[in-house]
Amino acid sequence: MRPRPFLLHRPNTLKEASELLYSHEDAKPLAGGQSLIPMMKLRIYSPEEIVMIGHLPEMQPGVKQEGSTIVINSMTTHDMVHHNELISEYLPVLSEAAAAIADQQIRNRGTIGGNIAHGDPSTNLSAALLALDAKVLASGKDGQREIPIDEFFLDLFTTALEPGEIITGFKVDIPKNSRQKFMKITRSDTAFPLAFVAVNIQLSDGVVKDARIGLGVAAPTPIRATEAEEYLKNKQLNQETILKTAEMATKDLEPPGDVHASPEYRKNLLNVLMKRCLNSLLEEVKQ
Amino acid sequence: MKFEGSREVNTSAQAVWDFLTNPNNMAECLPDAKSHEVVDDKTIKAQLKVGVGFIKEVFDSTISYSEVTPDSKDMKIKIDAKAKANTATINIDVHVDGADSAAKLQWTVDAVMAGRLASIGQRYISKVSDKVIEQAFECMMSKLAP
Amino acid sequence: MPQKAELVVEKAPETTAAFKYMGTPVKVAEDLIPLQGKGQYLDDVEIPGTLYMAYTLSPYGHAKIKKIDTSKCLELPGVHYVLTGEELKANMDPYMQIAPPPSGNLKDYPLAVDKVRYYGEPVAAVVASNAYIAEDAAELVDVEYEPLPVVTDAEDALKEGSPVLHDSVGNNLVWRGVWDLGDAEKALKEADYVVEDTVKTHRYAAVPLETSGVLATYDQSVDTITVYSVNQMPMFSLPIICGALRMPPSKFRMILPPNVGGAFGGKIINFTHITVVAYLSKLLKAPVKYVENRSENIMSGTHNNERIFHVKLAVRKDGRVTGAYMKAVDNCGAYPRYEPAGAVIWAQVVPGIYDVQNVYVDFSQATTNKGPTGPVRGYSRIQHNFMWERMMNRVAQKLNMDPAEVRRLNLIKAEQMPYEGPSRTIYDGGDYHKAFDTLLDTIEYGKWREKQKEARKQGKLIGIGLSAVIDSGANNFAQVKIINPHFPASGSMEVGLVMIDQFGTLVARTGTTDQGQSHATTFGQIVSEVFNTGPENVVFQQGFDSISNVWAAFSGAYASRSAVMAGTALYYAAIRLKEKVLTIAAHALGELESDLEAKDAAVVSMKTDKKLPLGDIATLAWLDVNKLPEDMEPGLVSYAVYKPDFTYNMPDEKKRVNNTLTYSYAIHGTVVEVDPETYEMKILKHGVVSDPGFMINPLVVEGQEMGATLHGISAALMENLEYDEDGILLTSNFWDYLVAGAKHMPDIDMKTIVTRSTSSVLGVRGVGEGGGGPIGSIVNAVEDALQPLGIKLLSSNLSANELYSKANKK
Repeated sequence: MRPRPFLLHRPNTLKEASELLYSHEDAKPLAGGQSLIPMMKLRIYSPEEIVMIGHLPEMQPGVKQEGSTIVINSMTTHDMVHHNELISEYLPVLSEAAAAIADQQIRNRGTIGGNIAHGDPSTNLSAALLALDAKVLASGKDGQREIPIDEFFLDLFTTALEPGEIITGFKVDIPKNSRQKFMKITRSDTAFPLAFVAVNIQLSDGVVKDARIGLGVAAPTPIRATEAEEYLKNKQLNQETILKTAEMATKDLEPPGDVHASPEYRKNLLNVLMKRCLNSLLEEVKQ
Repeated sequence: MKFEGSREVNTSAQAVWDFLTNPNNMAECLPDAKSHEVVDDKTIKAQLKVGVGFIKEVFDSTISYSEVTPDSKDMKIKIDAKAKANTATINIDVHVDGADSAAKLQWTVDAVMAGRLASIGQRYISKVSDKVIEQAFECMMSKLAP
Repeated sequence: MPQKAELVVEKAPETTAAFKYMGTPVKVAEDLIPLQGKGQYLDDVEIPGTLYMAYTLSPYGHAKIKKIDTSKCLELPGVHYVLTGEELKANMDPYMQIAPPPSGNLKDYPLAVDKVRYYGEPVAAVVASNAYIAEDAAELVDVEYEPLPVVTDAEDALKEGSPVLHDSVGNNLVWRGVWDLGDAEKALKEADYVVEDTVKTHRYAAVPLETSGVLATYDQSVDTITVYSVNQMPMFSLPIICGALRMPPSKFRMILPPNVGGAFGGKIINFTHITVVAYLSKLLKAPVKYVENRSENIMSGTHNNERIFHVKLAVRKDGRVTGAYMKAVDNCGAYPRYEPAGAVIWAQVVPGIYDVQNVYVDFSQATTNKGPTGPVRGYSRIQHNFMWERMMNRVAQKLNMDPAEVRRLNLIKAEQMPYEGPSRTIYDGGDYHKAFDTLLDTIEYGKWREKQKEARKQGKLIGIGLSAVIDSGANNFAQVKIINPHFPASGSMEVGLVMIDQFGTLVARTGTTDQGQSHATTFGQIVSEVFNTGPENVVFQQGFDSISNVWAAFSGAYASRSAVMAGTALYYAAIRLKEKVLTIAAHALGELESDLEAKDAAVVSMKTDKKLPLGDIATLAWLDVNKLPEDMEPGLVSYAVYKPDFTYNMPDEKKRVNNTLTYSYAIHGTVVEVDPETYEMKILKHGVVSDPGFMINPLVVEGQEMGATLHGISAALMENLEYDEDGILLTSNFWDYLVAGAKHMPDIDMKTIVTRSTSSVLGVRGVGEGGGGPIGSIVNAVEDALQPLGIKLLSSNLSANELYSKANKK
C-alpha cells in the first residue's frame, strides 16, 4: 500500500522544524520512519504534512558521557544503542531492549527518539527508559526543556510533548551498583510483541536499595510497577521476594488483548518475565 | 462488540431525560466534532474525528434517535459512521430512571466496527469506542448538573 | 501431434550410477539472479502510458450494497475510470462453476455485485494515471452498505436458518459426496474398539514473496489483449477468463515474466484480477497494471481449506486399523473459484500411508463469509493426512501403545507395492517401513522417550510427535468429474521443446513456468543427459508466451508436476531430436547411425573417432540445407507431448480413480519442549525422511523438502487467518499474520531413501508440496508434551495463548 498525499518539509534548523510543527496541526515529524511509514502505508494514520528532522545537527546520532550522565541523541539508531560501549557498560537494559527490536534492517533505521515519540505502549525502549529514570530532552519553539520519563506518557499514543516540541535526545544518570535486565516475549521479531519487562535495581550486600521496573504492552501507556518497586526496597532478593514482586507488579494490570494474547495471558507473561528478570539478576549477583 | 455504562446524576430523571432527548445537547457534546448540524429533533449529522492519540480518522456520521418512549424513559440512539476504508454502526439503548436528585442514566452499546481499523486496531478499538461514548454522556451530564 | 505409442524411449536405468548429468547435485545457477536483484518479475515489466488500478475493498464480512457513488472518486485529478460490479455484470458472464446446479447456479464476478461476502472483497476498480492516485481514489468510492448476519463456520453454514451467501443457490452447500469404499460399517461392527474424535485444520494462506499481479494491453489493430500475469496455469485459466469475457482464447496472448516469486498454489485463482485488468485495458485502450498489496494478498490471495472431521476408526486390539468412517465439512470461503475441487483432491490419499481398505467418507463443502479458498501447497491432502496422523495417536492412546508402534503396524508394506488403495490410487512404490525406521533412528526416538520420562519428573514438558504423510503429485484432472461428469477435462499432459540453435547450443522450453523451483538447472540436466553434454551447452528459456512458447492446456507448475510431467516431455523431445541429429551426422560423415553417439556438444563415431560438432550439424540443418539427407525437413526442433496413463484414468460410479501419477511420502518426527509458564513451544529436534524417487538434482529436491518443512512449521506454530464474529479478518498484515522465516527454522535432520517411482518414466516423484508432514508431528508432539496436564488439542494451529487458556480452564 501507498500513503495518502502529504506535504514534505525539510527545515534547515531545529527551530524552523518546531515552528512548522507548531503552526501545522496535522504535521508530524519524521525521523527513521520505523513506526510512521508503516502506519502511513497502511493508511491508518495520514498526516497532511511531514517535517523531516533526521538531518538536523542537534539530532545526529551520538552517545556521550557528561560527568555521571549519559546523553543519547535522538537519531541514534537501535543498532547503535545496542552496540554502544557506554550504554552496554552503564545502561545494559537499554542495550538489551534495543537489541530486541524487530530485525536488523529495522534496527538500522529506527531511532531512539522515534521509538518513544508516539507514546506507543509496545515499544521496547520506553520500558527501558522508564526503568532508567531517563529525562526526555524536548525542543520547542520557545526553547528546550527536560521532561522526566515518568511524566512523559499520558495515554495511548499520547505524550507530554507540546505542539511543536521535538525530542532531541535523552539524559540518563548512571545508576550506581545497578543490575539491569530486559526480557521480551514475541511470536516473531517483527510482530506485535506479547509482553516485555525492563528492570533496574540498585543492590547493596544483596539488599535492594532502589528499584525501577518498566512494563511493556501492559496498559494503554508504558508503565512502571511502582507498588512492586516500593515493596522491593530494602528487601533481600530471594525466591520469596521475587515471587511477591512479580505478583505485585502484575496483579492489577489490564493489558490489551489480541489474537496472539488474551489480557490474562499477557498478564501471566508479564508475571513470568518479572520473575525471570529478577532471578537472572540474582544469579548474576551470586557469581 | 458490546459494552455498557451508567452514570448517576444529581438531578431528577425527568431532567436527565429532557436534556438527553434534545439533540442540540447531544450535538454540543460530540467528541472531536469538526462540524455538526442538527437536522431535526431526532437527527444530527456530524463530522467526528475519532481515534487514539494522533491516530484519528474523520467519520461522516449520522446520529439518530428512535423509539423515544417518554413513559419508560427509554430510547435508542443509532450512529452510522463512515470514514475512508472504515465504517461503524453503533446501536445504543438508553434508559433513565431513579429518584429526584438521584437519577441514573444507563446505556448498553452494540457496535459493529468494520474496515481497516477494526482489523489492525483490534487491541484498542473496543476500549476506544467505550471511552468515546462514555465521554459523550459524561459531557452532557456534567453540563446538565455540573 | 505424435502419440506416446510412437515414441521409442528407453526407460531410464534403475540406478543413478548410469547417469552422468541427471542425479547429480548440480549447483543451481539461477538462484543467484533473484538474490542479486536481477530477476525480471511482473512489476518490472513496464510499458509506456500504463495506467494503474486499485480496488475499493469491502470493510464488511457480509453486507448488502445499497448504493455506490463514484462521483467524488471521478473528481480526483488523474482518475480515468471507476468500474463497478454492476457494469461488469452487464458486460461479462459469471465464471464457469465446477459444481453442478444448484450450487453451479452461483454467480461469481471479480467485483462484488449486489452484496459483499467477505472482508476485503473488491467492490470497485479504480484506474488512474499512477498507483498513488489509484489508491487515493479507491478510498473515495462511496459505498452504502447494509450489514447482514455473518457466518464464518462451515458446519454452522450448513445448518437450517444460517445466513445464506448466494441467493441463486438457496443454501450454502457447494457440494456433497459420499465415498463408500470397502465396507467401513462392517469393519466398525467387527472392531474390538471404535476410536472416535474430531479433528480440525485451520485456515492459512499461500503468502508467496511476490504477490499476484497483472499488466494487460489491448492491441486495436488485431483486437487482441496481451496479458502479463503470474498465473500458475495460464492456459487452463484462459478459457475461464475468455468464457466470462465472451472472447475466444486466440484473442488473448498470455505472457509470464521469466521470474515468478513463489506461488505455492496461491497464483491460480488470481484469474479474477486478470479478468478485470484485461477488461479495463480493452475498454480504455491503454495498458493497465495492478499488483496486489500484501494485505490484499493475505485477505483474498487464496486461503487453504479449513476442514473439520468427525471420525470413527475401527481398531483391532493389536492396534491394527481395519476401517475408517468419517464426516468431513470443508470451509470454502465466499466463492468457489477452484473449489469444490478440494472436495475430491483429498481422495488422492484416502487411506493416508496406511493399509486401510474400508473407508467411508461423507464430504460436504460450504460457502462462508471468509476469503476464497483454493490450492495451497499440499492442497486438500494436508488436511486428510493430518486427520490420519491425529487419529493414529488417538488409537495409541486408547490402546496404551507407543504411537510409533501403532504406525509401524498399519503402514503399507514394501511387498504390497505398487499398492492399490480403496479408491484405486496406485501408490507407486516405496518402502514405508524402512523410511519410518530411518526416521526413528534419525530423531533418536528411543533416547528421547527416556529423556521425556526424566524431564517429566523435573516438571519439564517434553513431547515427541510423529507424522507420516503421502505427498501425491502430477494430478489426473478426471477426478473433478466426480463432482461434475460434464467437467470438460481429464488426464494430464505437458509439453517439452528442444532445439539446437545455429551455433549448436541446445535450447529447451516447457509449458511450465518456474516460480523458484530451479527449472533451468533441473531441465538442463535432462537435456544434458540425453545429449551427453555439459550444462554449459544447454540453455533453458524461462518464462511463458502463448504465441511462441510450447504449451498444453494443462501447462503449468502446480500439483508437484514439473519434474514428472515437463521433465518427461523434455526427455522425449530431446531423444527425438538426438535421433535427427544422428541421422544428419551419419549422412554428413558417411557412417552408420548405429556407430555414432552424441557426446560433448558433438556427434562422434565410435568406429572412426570422427567428430562433428553440434554447431556444424546446426549449420547443415538450418542453413546449408541442400546438404541434408533427401526428404529431410530442415531445422533442429523437436516437440513432445507427454500424456501419462494413470491405469484407472476415469472415475467409476464408486468415485474410484487413480488421482495422480506419483505418490511420494515423508515421515516427520518432532521433539518439542513446552515452557510450563509461558507455554511457548520450542522445537528441540526435527527429522524428515522422504522418498522422492529418483532425484534429477538432489539439491533441488532437498530445497523443496526444506521449504515444505518450514511451511509446515509455520502453519502449525504461526500462520493463522483469524476472523472475528463479524467476519473481520484480524490478521490482515505481517504485523499479525506471522510467517516463519529462516530464524524460526530449527536444524532439520533430513534424509532421503530412494525407491524409483513405478509409474513415472524417469522414476521420479513429485515433491513440491510435502503433504504437511510437520504439522502432524508438531501437534502430536505438543499434545504429548502436555500429557501431564491432560490437555487435548483439536486444531492444526497452536499458539501459546491457546495452550495457556486450556491449561488454566480447569
